[in-house]
Amino acid sequence: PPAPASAPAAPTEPPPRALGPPPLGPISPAPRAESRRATAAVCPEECDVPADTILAPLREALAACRPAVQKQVCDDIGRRLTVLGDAWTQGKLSAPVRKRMSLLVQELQQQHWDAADEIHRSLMVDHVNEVTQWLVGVKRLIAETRSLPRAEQAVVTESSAEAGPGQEEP
Amino acid sequence: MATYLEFIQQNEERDGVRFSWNVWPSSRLEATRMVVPLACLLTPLKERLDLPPVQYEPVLCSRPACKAVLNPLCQVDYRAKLWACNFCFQRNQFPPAYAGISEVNQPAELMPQFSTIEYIVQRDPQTPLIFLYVVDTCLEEEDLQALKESLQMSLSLLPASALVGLITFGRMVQVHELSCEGISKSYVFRGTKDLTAKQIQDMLGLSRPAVPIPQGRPLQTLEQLVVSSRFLQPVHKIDMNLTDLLGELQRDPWPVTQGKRPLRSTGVALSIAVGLLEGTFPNTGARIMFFTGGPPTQGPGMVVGDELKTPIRSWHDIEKDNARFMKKATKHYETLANRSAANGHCIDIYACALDQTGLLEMKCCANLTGGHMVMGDSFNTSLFKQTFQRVFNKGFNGEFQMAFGASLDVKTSRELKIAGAIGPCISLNAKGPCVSENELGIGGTSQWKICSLDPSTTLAIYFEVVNQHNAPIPQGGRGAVQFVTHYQHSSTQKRIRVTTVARNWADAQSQLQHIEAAFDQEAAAVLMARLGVYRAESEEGPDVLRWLDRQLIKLCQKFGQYNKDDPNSFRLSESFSLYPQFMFHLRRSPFLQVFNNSPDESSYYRHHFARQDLTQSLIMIQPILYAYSFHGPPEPVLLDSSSILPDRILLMDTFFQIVIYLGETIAQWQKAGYQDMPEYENFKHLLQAPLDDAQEILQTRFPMPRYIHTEHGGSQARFLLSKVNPSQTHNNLYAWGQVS
Repeated sequence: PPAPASAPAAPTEPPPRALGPPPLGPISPAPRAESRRATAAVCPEECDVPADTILAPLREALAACRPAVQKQVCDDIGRRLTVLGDAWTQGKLSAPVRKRMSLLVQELQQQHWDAADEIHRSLMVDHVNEVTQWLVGVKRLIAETRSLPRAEQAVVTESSAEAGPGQEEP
Repeated sequence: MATYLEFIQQNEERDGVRFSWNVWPSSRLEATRMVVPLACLLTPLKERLDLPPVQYEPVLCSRPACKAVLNPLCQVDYRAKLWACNFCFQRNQFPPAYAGISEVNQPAELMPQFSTIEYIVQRDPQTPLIFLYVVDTCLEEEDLQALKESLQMSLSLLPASALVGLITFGRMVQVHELSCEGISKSYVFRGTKDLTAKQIQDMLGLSRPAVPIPQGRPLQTLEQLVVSSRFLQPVHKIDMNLTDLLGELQRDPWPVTQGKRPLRSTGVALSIAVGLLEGTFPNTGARIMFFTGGPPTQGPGMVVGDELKTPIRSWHDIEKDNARFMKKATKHYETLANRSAANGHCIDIYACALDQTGLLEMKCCANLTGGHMVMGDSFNTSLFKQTFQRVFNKGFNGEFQMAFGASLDVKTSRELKIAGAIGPCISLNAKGPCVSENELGIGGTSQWKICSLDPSTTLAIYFEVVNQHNAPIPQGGRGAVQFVTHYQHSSTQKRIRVTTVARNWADAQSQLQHIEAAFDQEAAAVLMARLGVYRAESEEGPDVLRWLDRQLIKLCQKFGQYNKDDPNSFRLSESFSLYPQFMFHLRRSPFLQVFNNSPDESSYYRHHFARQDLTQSLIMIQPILYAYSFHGPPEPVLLDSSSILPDRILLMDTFFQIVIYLGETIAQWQKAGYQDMPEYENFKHLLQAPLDDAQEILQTRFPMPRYIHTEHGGSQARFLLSKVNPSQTHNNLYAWGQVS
């Protein structure tokens, strides 16, 4: 009968004696071992921003749109902002989503339409399952706000923020 | 002898053209003796960040049968303001706008560095792009949810002025009317009965004449153009409603009993999509984006019955003539593909399922129209999700990389004729003096239509030298080819890209060494490969391999140096030395070997091979292998079994797969956990390096490759082992076999 000792080694045993350890010391560091992780925004520890900080400017923007945009569209946007608010308050949105929404709202207030649009796109692409219901409303809000005549756009800008470095032309 | 490598590279960078021969044999007879035909790979819309388009229209030769575009090869008389067409020698007057030109004030199109130049056509009105989603609802819940989310996401990625539409199908086909009102309506069609275009248009209420795209009439506003179509609306108006509509899509309600497949009416769904666009927006850039989770099982175009116990056809079935639905289904989709292409509309196929979905029968939809073909296991995978996102990629200038409705017109100097093209195009049947009677690929024409293309789309164009043997070398000593591509840019602007190239003629009998030195073995390999794959679609597999082998033998006989009966004396010059290797790997590749692949997989691989640029095509023919070890920096190694060593990590890129393979020792070290010990941090870096390099490829390539991480003895190591040249086997390892 075969010797029982020839059973395969259990995983916790050290490597077979014949196999030495890998060579010590630095090798030329693998060309791309230093990661490209820099893309993730390094955000300082943010305290939980209440939903209203995000919602208030968005609702202001919506109010500015009402005279110029169809009632039905505005109501639809409004409904979606409510969904956003509820999801936010109930803690259903992940930190990256909340962070990016804060940034989006800031860009919107400074009339950086293209930047706000880019952030909305990145949210859609990276977090689609969290955002679909309401983000399309925000998208529409950006689009409608940027096409308002200038006078009404000024309403959206926070009074305390310096006049933005000029709108980015579409 | 100077190498042509730099010359070849510079020309490719500037013009997007690679010729198999860069010095041309001057007679028909000699050209055929070269074995590899005179041909080129052309990337019509190669990304040229340094080439801003000019804002005027091209100047054309006035001879009606010519109409070549003014280019740097033309002789110009600046005083008389005349130019001589280099193709037909007609003398033409410059238009009045060119009154101010001189030797020191040349228009861009005459300067040699603008052998490739792009014009913007101002006059035509700009029509919006159209995206028609055709969505299979016979999916598992999870799959359908993932697909819905991807579709919702894509609405944010479309150009804002684009029109969108939605057709869903399962047992029935539903065409959704998009409106901003509360109630969503749809038109329901039976999935069993095919309808003509006219019937579809009547039933959808589109029978009043479609709004013609006005030529010379004042521009109609976008709103006026779209009022004729309730089924296709601008995304900026309909995004919220369509997002909700997509969110509410349910699985096909018809119950599927045990042992059966769901009834899927793919054939009718696509037919309706094609008919809808035909009736409302002929001759505009449009994408039919077709998503399916299984094979068509009902109606015209069905590929398999609904009984699970009858499997879908395999290559074995096809060879034994045992695929009962194949011919009819293929014909159905070919008809649709041709109609779609005639209208300038492309059809994308996104097929995600664990079993085959009928890509073999439906492939013409993507191949003839230039549409994408994406094959995955499920819509709920990053492979699908990320690949789909990349459809909407933008280039460095922030513009979408998709272009529509292209027509490619090729002109040659009179010593050359055009034999045909191989790529994602259809023939426009343009006869003329440039067209050869001998066809290679899609021949009998000097113009082709490519309904959808991007900066990497590459066509293979085959020429024929027609000069008689012993006729003198044409005056000027050079032959020329001009490629004119009209297309619709993603911004809806119409543009024209013109590339004019020339090469020297040489007498093959006295100057063979010049012709030899100017051989581009990489281009030649890809051009021959495309011919082989084209043949494989209609010929028996072994016949194609025999043909390929014979071509290789003849080429080696012509250009090799050897002593009779002495195999070890065989030498090929540097410009040919890699060619046999390419042929070796080509004949083992999934493009020509169908063994171990399903018909759908073979169709998928061949689809991508027939449109990629040269670099990617070479990767497909001969995968790249990188080795990572402690002995030095990462380096490319031979695709050979001798490259597999215990103390190495290998990264293999086949274009379709990225395989990371840990050698035996590396795998044991990893199992022992050395990477977690601080003193062995270099080992941790070694393990990480190929992962990082793999990520770079995974993040950029379209379609996203499959990622396979395996090790010595692992079952997935077969992906690597089947590709490497088995120079070392148990038969010759200890014998006096050849040194690898």
